Amino acid sequence: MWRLDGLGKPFLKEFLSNWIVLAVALLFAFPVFFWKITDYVSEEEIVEDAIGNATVNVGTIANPAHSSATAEALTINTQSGHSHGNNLAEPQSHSCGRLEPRNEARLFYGALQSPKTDSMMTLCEAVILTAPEAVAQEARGATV
Amino acid sequence: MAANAKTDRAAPVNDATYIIFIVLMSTGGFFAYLSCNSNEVVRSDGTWVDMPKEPTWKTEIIWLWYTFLTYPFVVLLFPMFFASNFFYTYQFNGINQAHFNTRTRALNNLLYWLCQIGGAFAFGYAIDSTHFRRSVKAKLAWIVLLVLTMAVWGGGLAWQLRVPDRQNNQSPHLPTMDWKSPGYRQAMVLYMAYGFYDAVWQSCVYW
Repeated sequence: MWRLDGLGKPFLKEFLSNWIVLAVALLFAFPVFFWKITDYVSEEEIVEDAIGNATVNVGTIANPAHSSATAEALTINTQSGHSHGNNLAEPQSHSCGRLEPRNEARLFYGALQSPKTDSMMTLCEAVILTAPEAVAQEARGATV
Repeated sequence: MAANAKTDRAAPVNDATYIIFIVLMSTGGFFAYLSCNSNEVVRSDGTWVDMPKEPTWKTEIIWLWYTFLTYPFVVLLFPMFFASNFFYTYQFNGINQAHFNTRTRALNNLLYWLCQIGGAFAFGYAIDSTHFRRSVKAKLAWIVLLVLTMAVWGGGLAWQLRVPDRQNNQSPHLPTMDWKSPGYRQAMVLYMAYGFYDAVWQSCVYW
């Protein structure tokens, strides 16, 4: 733009170039605004700054404010669930579903009680435990 | 602006203007020293601020690369980043400098940046509101940007078609308007709208 201005182009052409650049930029950004910005955060990444070198597929976090509890819960899970360490380390390939906050608790208990999760927790379906809950789970002897 | 209020020609600003700028900038820098360190800040609800580890330039580049790999759609936002500063040249050189005398330019700039402040405040509060979900706010933000782009720049087109243009000449001597000239009010409103629009666009991009 500076170059165009330096060349002394007519102002109308400068104006039109600006307008078109803005419109095209908006067009490019349309997919991001409409499809990529979500209410939930699906963390499929390494959480190593929270829990050291463990590689965990965290699943769906409905409320990002719980992320600090996530770190504690995952720490407890990886420390206590030694027999399931492999399961926790293998990333799940299917995509996480969307969780509404009120369904969190239901899905969590469902995941714990359903037969297929009696020996492992599919992290995509499970909800992040808070630390006290995780300790209580351990005390009750539930498999995590 | 006050220092140049008597200059109703398109003349270079006087020395006092530059001195005032230097003094203002130094004062601003001094006030920056008075602000609190981040690790000592306590929010109104009593929580402390988490200080992240200070990154080195190497980690910054590595994380930038990592961001591209994990979130490739960020590249789609690059045209918005580019566009957010693209129109400065046109607005400052093509409108303000070309068509107005010194004191009117000063007034235009003042109003432009005041509207930017207002726009940033308004958009900031709107985008942080908890009445809507984040996805809804994103869609609304895009629609607002679209409407503003069409409205503000549509008005700009109307104005640009009315004023004299230059033809491949770096410094044409176009007739300059004063703030007392007829037709200044439309230009003033347009320029303020440009300022507001810039703030909204930039806030949206940073969000």
